[in-house]
Amino acid sequence: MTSNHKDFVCITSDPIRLEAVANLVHDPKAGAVSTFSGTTRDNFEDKVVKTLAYEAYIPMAEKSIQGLIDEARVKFDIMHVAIYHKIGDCPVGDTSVVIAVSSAHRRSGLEAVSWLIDELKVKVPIWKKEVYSENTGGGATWKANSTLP
Amino acid sequence: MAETQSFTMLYFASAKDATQTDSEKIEWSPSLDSTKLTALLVERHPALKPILAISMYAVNMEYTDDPSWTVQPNDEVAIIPPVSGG
Repeated sequence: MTSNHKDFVCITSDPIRLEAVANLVHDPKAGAVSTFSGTTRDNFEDKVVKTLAYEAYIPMAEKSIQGLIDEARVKFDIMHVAIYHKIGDCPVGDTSVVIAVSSAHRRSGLEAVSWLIDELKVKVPIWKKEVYSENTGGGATWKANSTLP
Repeated sequence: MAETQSFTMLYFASAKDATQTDSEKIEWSPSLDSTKLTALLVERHPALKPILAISMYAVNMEYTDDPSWTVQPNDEVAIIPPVSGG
């Protein structure tokens, strides 16, 4: 049933370009390409974020993302899926994650993208470290996402 | 005399900061469940204690949810602190 549907899972230290990831899922039978692009914020409460870095348990993160895609295919009527996540230094404002899903009709694609980013944020072993500007007290923190999507 | 067997611990993010290493091999012993593993790790790395209180274990790249789980020789066990991808 899904034999000709393609998955692209990539944990990369290279910059991620939304358009390049979206292009991976294009298909002549698709009426929609739905995407989510996550970017890194420059503030946390009253602290100014100077730099950010992501770390991943790469093989488990890839396996875990693949598992989410498999689950999404059961829940939603979708075609191709691409999920790219950045690791290493990620300057403020840069893209940290892109999810792109093609589907015959828009609703299932939009719902799949929303579900995939919620699940990714609570399940996939990737961690973000924020380093704060000395002007706002300095220091660094490993962040934790809320466990409720 | 039985040959010494071991398992691998992986440390990421705050766990890596606490242990100052990203992995180590530990001598395996029978009946090492998650409670005993936590005690063993805190003994080796006291700074891990508050992190283990909020972390999960992944065994061979799967989250553990079986309460009867024990470490097997050659397992790859990772401490998974609260995740923050996205």
